[in-house]
Amino acid sequence: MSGSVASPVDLRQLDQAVFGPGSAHRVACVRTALVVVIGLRLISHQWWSLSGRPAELFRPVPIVSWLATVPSAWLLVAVEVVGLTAVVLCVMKRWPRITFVLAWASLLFLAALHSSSGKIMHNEVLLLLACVPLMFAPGGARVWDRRETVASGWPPRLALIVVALVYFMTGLEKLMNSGRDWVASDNLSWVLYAGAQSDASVLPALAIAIAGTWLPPVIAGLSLTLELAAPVLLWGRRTRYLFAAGIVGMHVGIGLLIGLDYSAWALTVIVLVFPWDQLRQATSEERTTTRFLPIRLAR
Amino acid sequence: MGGGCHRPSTGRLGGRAGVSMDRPESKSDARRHRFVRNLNAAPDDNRRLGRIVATVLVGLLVFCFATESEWWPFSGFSLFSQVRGPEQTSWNLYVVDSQGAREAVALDSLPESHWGSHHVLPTLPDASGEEQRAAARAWVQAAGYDLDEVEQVQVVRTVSLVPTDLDASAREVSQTVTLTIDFP
Repeated sequence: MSGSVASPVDLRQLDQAVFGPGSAHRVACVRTALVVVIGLRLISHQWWSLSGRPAELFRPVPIVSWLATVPSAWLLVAVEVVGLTAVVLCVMKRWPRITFVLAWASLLFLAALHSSSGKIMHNEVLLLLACVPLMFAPGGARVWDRRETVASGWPPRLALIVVALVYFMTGLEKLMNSGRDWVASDNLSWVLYAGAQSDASVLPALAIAIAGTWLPPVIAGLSLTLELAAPVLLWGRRTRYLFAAGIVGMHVGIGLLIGLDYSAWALTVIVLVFPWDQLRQATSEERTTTRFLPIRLAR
Repeated sequence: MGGGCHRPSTGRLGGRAGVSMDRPESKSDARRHRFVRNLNAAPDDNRRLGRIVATVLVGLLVFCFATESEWWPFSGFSLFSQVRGPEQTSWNLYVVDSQGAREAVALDSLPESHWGSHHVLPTLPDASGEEQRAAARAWVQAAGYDLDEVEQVQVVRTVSLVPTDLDASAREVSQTVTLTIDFP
């Protein structure tokens, strides 16, 4: 995805924008940052506490439907340790392709068990889906790598497309299920009132205070607009930052007011939107200046 | 600068073409060469791979959305998509003993391994009799009840008003027993 916007009918230009060459530096940075987010998610839960659930209360999601119930605690700890070890190795650039997949698979397995309680949990879903294209990224790509290759180009772009699509579908689902009432009614006020009763809410008094004002429909309108406009906003380089700022604000608000942890979503967006290439350019310019400064002074 | 260390001429992408003639190829050299060979020799292959991955990934996302299928982590993404109002619904479990005394099972106080298991309650009426009894037994045992003293377990749907004050508690509007499970 370049900064320029392709004409909707120009499929060749669109194809080039997605599958054209891209920087090996960016793909290495995105992979490393995403695996760090995976690591944070792996240590943020006591996954072993899932163990001991009776088989009668286990409602497995399809990918763990081969299990009769949640495995024993030691196995869950082992999976977590394998995942965290893979995260460390991937950050250290040791077999980054394999270790990235291992870390991802560990979180996938543990989060799938977490989601097997009769209610689908979406907390890790965006991170897991956005990581899929990065599994195909070249293992040899390194941070500060100046090479531009086709293999390095499409994985981070496709991850961004996945993010755009997920947010768009989330918004569209609201529109399809509830229409404009999702924004225009007291919907968000009641979400805030109910969320404030949750033990997980950090600022319940603020949630109650906001719920009683004119703000909820405005916030609902902005959130829905942000979700529906995700594909457009993520396409342009500058509007990407606007999208990321809005999304981070939305998820921080949800976390503080109603206690739902969507930090993995916010972090995924930050990682994919961050201008890694500009960071490389800025750093290399700084390096050049620093390197030649003493010579200039000597002259 | 450079310490007078002259390296062989590099290729277009910085690969050190003649290095293996002077000394054994190091691991990092080998990795770099493999990277350059794999990625630049066949950009069309990489494009093809990208298109395949994109088609499968986007296709699955759109399919699950369109059919509202939950193939986690693929999902229908119906997050907070229903309009909320002043009423909220919760599902609870009650035990009835031989004297007819009825008591709510504190599902929030169950061991962590049972976290979120109350989400199973709304689907329990659709399960078979044996599955219903097994699930009820699992909850009742985890809550510390003596199974011999339990005559009946009830699944109850409770509708209450959401409090608009932090100090207030939810006011119950209605209670419906959706399922009764007799214990032999």
